[in-house]
Amino acid sequence: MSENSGSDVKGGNGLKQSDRMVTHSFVGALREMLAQEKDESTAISSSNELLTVVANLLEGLALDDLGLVDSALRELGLKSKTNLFSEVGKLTRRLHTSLADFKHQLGPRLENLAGKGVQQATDQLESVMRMTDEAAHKVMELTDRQQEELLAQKASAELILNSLDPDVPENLPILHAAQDILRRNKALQGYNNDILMAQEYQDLSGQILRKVIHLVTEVEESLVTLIVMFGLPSESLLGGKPNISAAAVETAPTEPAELSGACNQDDIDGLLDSLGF
Amino acid sequence: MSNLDHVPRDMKILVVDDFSTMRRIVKNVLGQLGFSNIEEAEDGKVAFDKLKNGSFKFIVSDWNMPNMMGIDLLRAVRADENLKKLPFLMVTAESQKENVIEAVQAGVSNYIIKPFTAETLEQKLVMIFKKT
Repeated sequence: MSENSGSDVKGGNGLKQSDRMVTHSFVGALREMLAQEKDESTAISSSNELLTVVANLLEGLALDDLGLVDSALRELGLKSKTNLFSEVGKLTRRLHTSLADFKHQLGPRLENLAGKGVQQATDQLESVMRMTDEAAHKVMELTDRQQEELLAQKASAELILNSLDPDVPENLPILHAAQDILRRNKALQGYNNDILMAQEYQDLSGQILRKVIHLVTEVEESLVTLIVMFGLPSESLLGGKPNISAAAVETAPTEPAELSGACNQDDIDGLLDSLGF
Repeated sequence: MSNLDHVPRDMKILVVDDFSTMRRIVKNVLGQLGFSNIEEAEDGKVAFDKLKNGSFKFIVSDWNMPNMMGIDLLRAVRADENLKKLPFLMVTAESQKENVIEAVQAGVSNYIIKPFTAETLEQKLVMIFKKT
């Protein structure tokens, strides 16, 4: 507090005298404040330490004391590194604790999922595929038999039509009836065909099911990887993969045209047309 | 139907799809159009082997199959000296324009997307076997 008051002479580091005085008072006040602080926690004491170093730095600058500046800067560097290290250390400890908790609580559940849970799911999906396949074939079998009956029926009606003389008035009602039978027979053949074509749901739904089975299998593999990473004991987790071959599963399409709103046959025909078909 | 009269009814056809339901449907519709000399294959590889050993005149194939996909079967057929002229109809759930373009570039004769109607199949057959 012994600098020349009132003068604006610049010192060696370019600070004006008045500025130096301001700095010096500030530092003084800071040191007073620090001296009065009680050490109540490590947080406060570490920030106190930091402030002390800052005070030293400011004073060093104000007094042109390069030695003090230098040592203050070095301490600051150390301090910030120490803080950084200690923060990283805290984080690492927290992460480790969290992972240990996770392993303890979820480990058994993960194992169960990756083992029996997924296997059950894929088994169920496969049985759905099998059931729909059998149902579709059953229906198609029946449409085949219906078709046979319808053809025979058509032949009978045609026989009547061809056997009766249309010029004989008494025959007319019978001929009309035979024609009616033929008309309805044609309609029935149409419905029969529609029933047959409707079975293609089985192909489309089967392709979706395959995609889901593939997805589920992927999830299972990720779960197993997770479990292995955590070092949980695992007894033959991957025993018994689904029967679908990997290639079949990989090549299953995303969604059938209908559901995904992609092109319909008219769009495709337009494209083919433009390509010269 | 008269548009197909010039096509021999005993023409040997190979139907390729990994779902037996779909093979049956295609077989039935072809049957209704008068074609009953039909063999089946459940993947591209089996199909290609049958094609090399048989005297097929027409192929109807799906896209997604194990062991060898339909698009690869198409390429293999077009690359084979004895099979390259065979009419090849793709019947598939792959409905994106990119798929159609890829198939056309690989040499497909025509393209049907599932779900399809018997009328569509007939129309495409007429186009493929157009009297020249």
